[in-house]
Amino acid sequence: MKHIQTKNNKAGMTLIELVIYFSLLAVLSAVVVSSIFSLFKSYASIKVGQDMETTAIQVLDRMTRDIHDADSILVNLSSFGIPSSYVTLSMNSSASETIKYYVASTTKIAVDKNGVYLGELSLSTVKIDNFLIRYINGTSTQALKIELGLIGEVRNASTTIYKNFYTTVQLRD
Amino acid sequence: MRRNIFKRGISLIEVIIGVAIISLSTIYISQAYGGFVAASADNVARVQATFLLDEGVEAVKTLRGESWTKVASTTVGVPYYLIWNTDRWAATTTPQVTDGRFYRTMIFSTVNRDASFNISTTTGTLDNGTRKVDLAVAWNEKGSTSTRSISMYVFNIFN
Repeated sequence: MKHIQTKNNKAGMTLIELVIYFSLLAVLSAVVVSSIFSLFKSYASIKVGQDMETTAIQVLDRMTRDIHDADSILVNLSSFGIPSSYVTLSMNSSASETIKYYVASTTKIAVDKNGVYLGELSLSTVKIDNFLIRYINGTSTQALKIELGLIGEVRNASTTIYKNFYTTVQLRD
Repeated sequence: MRRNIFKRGISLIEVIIGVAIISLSTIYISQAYGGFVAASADNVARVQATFLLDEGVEAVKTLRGESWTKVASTTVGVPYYLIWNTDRWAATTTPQVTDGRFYRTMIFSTVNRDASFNISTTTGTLDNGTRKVDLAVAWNEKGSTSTRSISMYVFNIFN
């Protein structure tokens, strides 16, 4: 009698233990798995943000430097006020050195030097939504207002980030 | 038998405590990581604000290039905003917001020069060919306002 009771008692405890343990394990694994997924997701979104920053800085800083140094803007070799604008700068009019910034294959910002392809400034992970240049032809100064819209696609999350970067650069010559 | 029950009870409590510790620390770690992610994700906003600030500096120079009056006629101490007016920048006191998020203000102030024509904040006579401009870009970041600012002097060099 005593022996049977002990056995029953033992079996009941083990079952409850198992149920509690497995339910806790299930909850815990759900938490761990979801936080691991969110780690991957946030890594992807940080990566996209960084790529967009890098692209904006590469494009706009280089354009700023070149526009500051430029002798003049070759208006007849530029197209302003449209979403895929392009601009040609005369860097050294005596040596007829020119630099052109434009949207290549609708996804990247490219540079030509003296009409020859020099390279891309945007990263391959970032696409171009908008490259709008406006020409400010003032009485004493000339400037370009540049609007760079970038599209970043976050992997594994199927979300798309749109960011705009704006700057204005005045010619110094 | 008593010993057996005692032993089993401890193992269940152990499991609960263990699971609680592990799950709480996992939650805290992932929350902290989420905070780092948010901080670093908003770095894009800081880069955008910096470019807007650069643009502000150059835009003030284009205003000066049009006519010195555009700079000199501004009311001192009042925040101005840059507005795109067809083919040029203009200053307005009506608040302008970029991308629904960034507020860029310019506050003009007069500049005094001392006897040796150095800029003086305390004494000297008013120099109407110089203005100080304090530019700031403010935006909302998770309920609080972040700001980037820069100060410049602008001179009447064309008239």
